[in-house]
Parts: sequence; structure tokens; C-alpha cells
Amino acid sequence: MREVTFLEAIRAALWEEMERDPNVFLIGEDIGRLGGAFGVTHGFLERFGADRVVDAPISETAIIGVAVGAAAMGKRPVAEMQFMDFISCGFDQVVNVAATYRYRSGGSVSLPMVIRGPSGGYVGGSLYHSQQFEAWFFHVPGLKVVQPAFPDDAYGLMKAAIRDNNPVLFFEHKYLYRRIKGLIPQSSDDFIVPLGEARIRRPGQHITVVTYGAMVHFALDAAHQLEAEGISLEVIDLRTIKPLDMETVYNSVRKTSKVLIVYEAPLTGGVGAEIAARIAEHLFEWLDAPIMRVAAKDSFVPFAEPLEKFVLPSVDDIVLAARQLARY
Amino acid sequence: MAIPVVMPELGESIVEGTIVRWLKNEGEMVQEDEPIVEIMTDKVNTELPAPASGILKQILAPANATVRVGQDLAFIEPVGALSETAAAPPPIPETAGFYAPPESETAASPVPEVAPTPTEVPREQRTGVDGRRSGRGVFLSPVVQKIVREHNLSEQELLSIQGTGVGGRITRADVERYLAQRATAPKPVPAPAPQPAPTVAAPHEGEEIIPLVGMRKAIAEHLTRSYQTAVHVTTVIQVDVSRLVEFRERNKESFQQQYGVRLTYTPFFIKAAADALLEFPMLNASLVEDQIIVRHYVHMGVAVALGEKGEEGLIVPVIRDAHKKSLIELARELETIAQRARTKSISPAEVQGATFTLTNPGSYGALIGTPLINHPQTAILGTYAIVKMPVVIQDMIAIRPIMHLCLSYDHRLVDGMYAGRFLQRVKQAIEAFEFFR
Repeated sequence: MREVTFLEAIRAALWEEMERDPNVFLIGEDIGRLGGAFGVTHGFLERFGADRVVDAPISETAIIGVAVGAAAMGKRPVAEMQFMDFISCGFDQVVNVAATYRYRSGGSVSLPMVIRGPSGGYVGGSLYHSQQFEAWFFHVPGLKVVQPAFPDDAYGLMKAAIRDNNPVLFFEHKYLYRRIKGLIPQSSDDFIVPLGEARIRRPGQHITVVTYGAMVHFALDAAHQLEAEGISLEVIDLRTIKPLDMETVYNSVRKTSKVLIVYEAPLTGGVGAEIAARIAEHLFEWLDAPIMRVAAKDSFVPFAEPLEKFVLPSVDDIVLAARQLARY
Repeated sequence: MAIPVVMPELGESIVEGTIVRWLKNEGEMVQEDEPIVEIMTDKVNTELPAPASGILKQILAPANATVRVGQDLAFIEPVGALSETAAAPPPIPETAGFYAPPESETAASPVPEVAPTPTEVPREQRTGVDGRRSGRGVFLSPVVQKIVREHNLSEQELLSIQGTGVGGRITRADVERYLAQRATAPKPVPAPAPQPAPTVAAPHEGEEIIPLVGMRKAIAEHLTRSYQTAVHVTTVIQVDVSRLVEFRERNKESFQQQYGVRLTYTPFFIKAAADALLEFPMLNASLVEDQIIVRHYVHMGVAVALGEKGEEGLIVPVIRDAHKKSLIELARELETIAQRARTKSISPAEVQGATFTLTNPGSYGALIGTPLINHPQTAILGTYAIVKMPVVIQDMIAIRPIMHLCLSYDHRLVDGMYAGRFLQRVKQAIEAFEFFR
């Protein structure tokens, strides 16, 4: 085991996969000579060369388009969005080209590609460097969507994403990059976290909290606070958002009968809406309280710190909602 | 469109409120944000502003009615809408529209009539626990209904369960607790004999009947629960307050001038108790089910009687983090918060979350007493009248100002010696006058 930051865990996974499989290559803006805006690919150009660490022009459409073409020809590209906010520029390549490829080719062509990049707020990044766009892609068949919360998961899921034969969108929360540290296995262990499996990060009795990304840490903080009040939260880290591991969620809800879903994106139409709907549909008779959500306000992420705090969900929001549920 | 006036959520634990009186009558013009009705809840009295300008069209909840949060109290017809209503086209008859046959054809129409939608069984016919609601009209969540069905719980059994959820709702935990008890009980507990329905008494001459509502009702229910839950014991100690009295007499005027706050004894008692509670945290704890929540901070509730003779009840505003505050801060906050309590302008948040309560029956001359614990707290400290008394000091009789401190505590969590030591600590702080360390 080695102790690394969240960012270093992703870097280690990329490095080791490139060492393991010559088909894996990287493409993105400033990832080569600069080593990436956040330094994720620092030192990669020197080790793997410009053919496998491709500095691309500022065109997300081109970056994703090249990745699609290369993947169709048997390569395993990992395309970096400098900020996940800008994936919108390559939206058509993702949802109309990459997602549909296998379907359009009658199953004869698969696209083993990863689109990864930093997302999320709480860093004063303002409007275009703070968004959480997972819900857009969550809606599209043919894509997989991942957002880890801990270094070991980031490491194991990145390896799984690169080895998967479908387009995988990998959201890396930038708030976690250097804040969160943890142990990851040695490269020789060939450690993988399978896509589509949630993880119970904290077992509890009274309320099931379903969440992912940076909100996992907020939920754990809230759970710690509420412990003193005798309220016990079970915190489920989805890790993979699509496909959803509803079995883990259902098992927990059967135990607690109360659900709080927490996500950082705007409330309306978020991933939590789908989770709430599935629980209501399949577990109606197990519920002892309304399903509740804590999410961002239906707004953009402002630059001013107090306003950013106001718009994005907080630990206090989770504590208040959980208290309300506990009392119900 | 008429705009509803809704019973607002006046605090996180408030589920219902009582109408004290309407400040406007039906048919009267109201302005947006103008107070139109006075509402009383468990915690506070408040005036509700009109959500819109217009005419108070219909009052749904008369004075003394108890209404759940979220329910409509009245409707306001916006002024603009009045003329709109007048000019609105007549309602469309049900037979109108593309699919309705001309009236003349209706009778002879060969088209079979659309089967009527199955009518719902009237609510009162849905008996017992299979229905969405039990006979008492309590809401049962889906999971509670499922458990009730699976375990064949009778309606009587269901009604015997004390709900701990919002508004007495029976939670999953409540039913499961009941089932566990039923499983271990040697034989089925006979259902209690039905209580005769309370008859509404007509007042005899010289009597009046007051409905138990609002704050009084909340106090009644709360204190009953407290008395039935906590195992009450009271311990009394005498404190020689010579130095305190002397200090106050000497400094009250300069204090007022310097800090703009009246110097009373209470802040001293809050300070002494808060400091001592950090040393004796079990008195600052709560017993919740099988867990003891021990707090290492002090939110001090201070009982404030309302009305000249205390006839308007009692409210307990909370001084948060009292253990961190200086005497002057405490004095200032106490004055503000007590004033707000007396003028009924206190917010629900300001009366929640106390971990310990201080009451001062001394303010009306009481010499000694047994205060009731403010559930789910574990203890309450009463400060009683300061009276000059003969005391024996070094085998001589002296006259000293003496006060009784009476601590009521929950014997389930706290034993006598612990309570006694706490009182000694408070006494020592007051007698040695340790406030400006």
C-alpha cells in the first residue's frame, strides 16, 4: 500500500495502465509539455512520448472525435477535458457519436474510451470551472458515468474504465484532488474496482444517505455530527453513477425505511431524481418517510464565496434534512 | 384566483398552531404583508402577514381552531382578480367540446355510455388498518401498513401504540418495538377499557370554561411527558451570597452606565452553572432510548414568566454556548432575549436546543421548591429568594443573605453524590465570587 492524494491516485492509474497496455494513450489540452492544468499528467510526455501523450488544440470536439476514431480502430484513448464544464463543446461527439457507436454498428464496433476531467465546485472556480454535468450523460444510453470520492476508488475505477469496452465518462472532483489522501494498493496487485458497484462508506441504522463525489465527504461529516444526537446515517457512495447499483441502495432502504439523496448538481432533473423514482417505484412499501433530496439550488455556481456557499449544498443542509427525516 | 393563507412552518418541531384571533374580518380589504391573523404555537405567538393584497374572502379556520402546518386558513381574492372574475366567460358545460354529441342526439345515441369510473369506498367504510388511514385518522406510512398487515395487528393494538413521529405519527420503529414487546409478553395484554368520551362541561355559575390550546396545551403535554419519563429527585443547598450582593449593590449603577445593561443576579448564576456543567457533564446530558448523549457545551435555557402575574404562561429562551460567554455578554444577551420573550417577538429557533435549564422562582419571593425537569434535559437548577437569615459562622451567630439552590435531576442518569458535588461547585463559585477570573 502507498499513501497518495486523490489526484496522485488517478495519475498512478493512468501511468500503470499506459505501462501495461501500449494501446492506451492520452489526448487533451496542455497535458504534455505542461503536464495538465492540475498536473495529473506531469511527467507522462517524457516517459511515453508525444505519440501517446498528445497535446491537442483547444477543441473538445476534435479531442473527443479523435478519441472516438482511435477507439473504433482498437486503441484505448483517455481524453482529458481541462474542465468538465467544457465537455459541452464536444457534446455531439459524446451523445450522438460515441454513445451510439456500438448500436449503430450492430454490435460489431465497440469504443473502449475514457473522457476524464475535473468537475465540481467549492474552490471559488466560478461559473465555468465549477459545474457538475453528470446528469446530462446519465440520461444517455450507451455511456457509463463514474465519480469516485476516495483515492482507492479513483485508482481502481480509472483502471476499470480504461479496460472497459464502452465509452466511460470519469468525473474527478477537483475539491478532492489535493484535500483527500488515502492508501492505494501496489501496482503489482493489479487492483480494480468494478464499474457499477456502490460502496457503503459508513454503516448506520436510521437513514440511508445515497450520494457520490465530494458529497460523500460532506455526508460523512454530517453523519459524524449527528451521531452525537443519536441519529445514525448509513452513507452509500455510489462511485459509479451509471449503471446504478440499486441493489445496495435497496438493501439499505429495507433496513432504514428513510432515504436522503445528496448531490452537488442543481436539484431539478439531477441523478437523485432517478434514484428517488426507483425507490418509490420498487420499495414503496418499505418507506417510513418521504424520500428527501439535498442538492444545489437551481442556479449557477457564483464566484463570490458566500454566494457559492449559498447555492451549493452544505454539511449543514444535510444535517438539517437528516434531522427532519429522523424526527418524521 | 383566490390566494390561500397557509399555516406557516414556525419552527422545526412545530406541527400545528391555534388561531388566537383574526385581525381582519371576512370581506375586509387587506394589504400585502399586513398582519391579518394572530397565531399561537407551542413555542411562540406570532402575527401572520397577508400573502397578497385583496379582499379577505373566506376564513376557513375560526378563532381557537387548531390547524396543522401547511393547511389553508383563509382565502384572499386579489384586487385585480375581482374584475377578472366578473369579466370571465361562463364555465364550460360538461357536454361541450369536440367529443360531446349534440344535445338532441344524446338520448337516441347508439354509442354505449362510458362506464362510470369506479367510485371510491367512502373513507368511513374503509375499516381498520387495511385502509390508508385507521379509524382515528392517523397516517400510516407504507412500511407501517405493510408491517401491520404482515403481523395482523388489530386496530385496537395499533391505537395502543404511542407514536413518536411528527404529530404522534406511528413510525416503523414504534411498531417494531411494539411487536418485540408483544413477542416477549407472557400473554396478550388486555386492551384498556374504552375511556368514556369526555363530555363537554357547561360552565356552572361562577365558572368559566377555557379550551386547552396553544402554549398552555404544549406546556401541559410537555410537563406530563417530562414527569412521566424522568425520575425526579431534588437536592437543596444553602448559599451565602454576601459577596455577590455586596458586589451588585456597589456596581449596579456603574455597570448600567458602562455597559448599558441592568446588572441582575441571574447572569452570575448562569455563569456559575455553565462552568460547573463542564465539570459535571452528566447533568448536561440526555437519555434517548438506550443512548446517553453527553454534551461538552452548554446551551442554557432560562425560564421567563409571561404576563404581570405569570398568567400568560412561560417560555424558555436559550443562551447558546453559555460556557464561552463572559458575564457582560451573558447579562446583555439575557436582557435582550428575555425582553423578546416578554414582547412575544422571539423566534422559534431561540427557544430550541437548550441542554440545561435555569429557573428563578426567587424573583417572586419563593424560598424553596422542586423544579420540574425540561425533558429531554437531565436537570434544572432553581435559584430561590435571597433572604437575610441567622447563620452560624465560627460558632457565632451572624446575619447573612442566604439563597437556596434547588437542583432537580433525572435519577436514571445522575446519582445523589454527583448532583451534590455539582451543587457544591456552584455554591463555591458564588461564595468565592469567581466570576472575573
